[in-house]
Amino acid sequence: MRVAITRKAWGEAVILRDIALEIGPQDAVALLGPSGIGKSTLLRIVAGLDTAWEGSVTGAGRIGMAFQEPTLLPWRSVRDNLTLTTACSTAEADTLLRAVGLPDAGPRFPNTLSLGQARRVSLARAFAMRPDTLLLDEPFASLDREAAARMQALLLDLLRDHPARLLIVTHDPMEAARLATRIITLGGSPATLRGDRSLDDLPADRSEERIARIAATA
Amino acid sequence: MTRLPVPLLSMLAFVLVWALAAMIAGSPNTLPTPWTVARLTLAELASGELLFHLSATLARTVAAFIIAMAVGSALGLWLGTNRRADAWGDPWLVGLLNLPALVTIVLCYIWIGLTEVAAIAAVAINKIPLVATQMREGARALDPALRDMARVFGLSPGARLRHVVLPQLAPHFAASGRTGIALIWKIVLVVEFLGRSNGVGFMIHQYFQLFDVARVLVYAISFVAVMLAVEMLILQPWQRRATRWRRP
Repeated sequence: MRVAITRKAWGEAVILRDIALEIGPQDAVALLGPSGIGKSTLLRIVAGLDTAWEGSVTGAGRIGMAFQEPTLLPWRSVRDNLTLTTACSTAEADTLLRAVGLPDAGPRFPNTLSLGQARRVSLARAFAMRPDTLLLDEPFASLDREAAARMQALLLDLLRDHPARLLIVTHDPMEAARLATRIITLGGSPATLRGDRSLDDLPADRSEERIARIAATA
Repeated sequence: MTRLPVPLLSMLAFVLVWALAAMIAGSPNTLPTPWTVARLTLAELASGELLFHLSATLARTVAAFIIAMAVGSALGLWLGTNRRADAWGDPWLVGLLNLPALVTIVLCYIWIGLTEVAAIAAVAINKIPLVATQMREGARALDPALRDMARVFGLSPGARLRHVVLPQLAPHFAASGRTGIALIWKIVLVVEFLGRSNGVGFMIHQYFQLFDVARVLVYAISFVAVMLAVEMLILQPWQRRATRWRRP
């Protein structure tokens, strides 16, 4: 996948400038940077949700996305949320719900779920697209530390079974170090690429000590 | 003792107060007793008069309701999602909202003629701006996050409308429907009073000229009963069904 953004502005203010990225089909990229820098804007551009910008995005293939909020249809059951939005079968939906640890949630309505559970459904929905590219916009924000760690482990499991190119936006270096094979840092105003660092091991093989070391230098 | 449901008890209390008031007044020409009205209702039912005029009024109410909901919803959605249309349409909407029902009715009868079309159009025109205002609020409150979600996941326009947009509008539609039906039948009565030769409004006109309060009450109460039935048997169950996802 190639991302080339020459310019993205909100009114007069230029947000992103001269960003060129190439992301391989198995890459797991964490997009790191302070909040408000334009990480989510970059993700929305890749997702096709933003149209007012200059440049091009090619080769993303099929996209699955999880937003900061779970964004489920509240008037549809959890299972319908997967099948209606992604055209997956009921059986596939149930398999994914089991995979995210919610085997009984299928017939329930989203307002009966906790935030953490709704986030897991949102993640299952992104995988139900059978994505070539998985876009995650701070999908574990505002969860407590243990819950976030469980979700991160869950994401690695899902990626092992359903390989996809990952682009995850986060402001948390620990999260980047736990999930990514490559960490890209945005900085400056307008924001440009500040760092692009490939890690030589897989996230699943990392020790806590190694994760802490990566995070400290990210 | 079996317990009666509260709405029923409440209606019984109303009849009781009415009976007491009628007995204290002691003037059957001004305020007849409930049983006088009940007896007359049965007589009008037996002669077929009551059902004939009730169904005429009900048909006009339903026709005007359907037209007002359809046109008002479409208009409201358009204004709520299109800023330029809203800027142009808003003064019109405010003007129509403040146009007295009587003016619309009189003008419709003069311009279109003393016809069924004029009667139903006059009622619908009175209700359309109210539906449009409420549906515009609904369209403005559509969740942008759900819109983005539908776009990323590539939902077809039909699926977006059915699964994303319409469920968000349903509460607004139900609310304007329930207030609408009450307003519409009241205007239908005025329309019938002024220019139709059947219907509850026409009969009330007849008995008003005879100063026959009892028969005026027969027709008024019968139609209120019909509307209560519509409310409890159709509108409320539908609204409960449409919003069942809100209850955990």
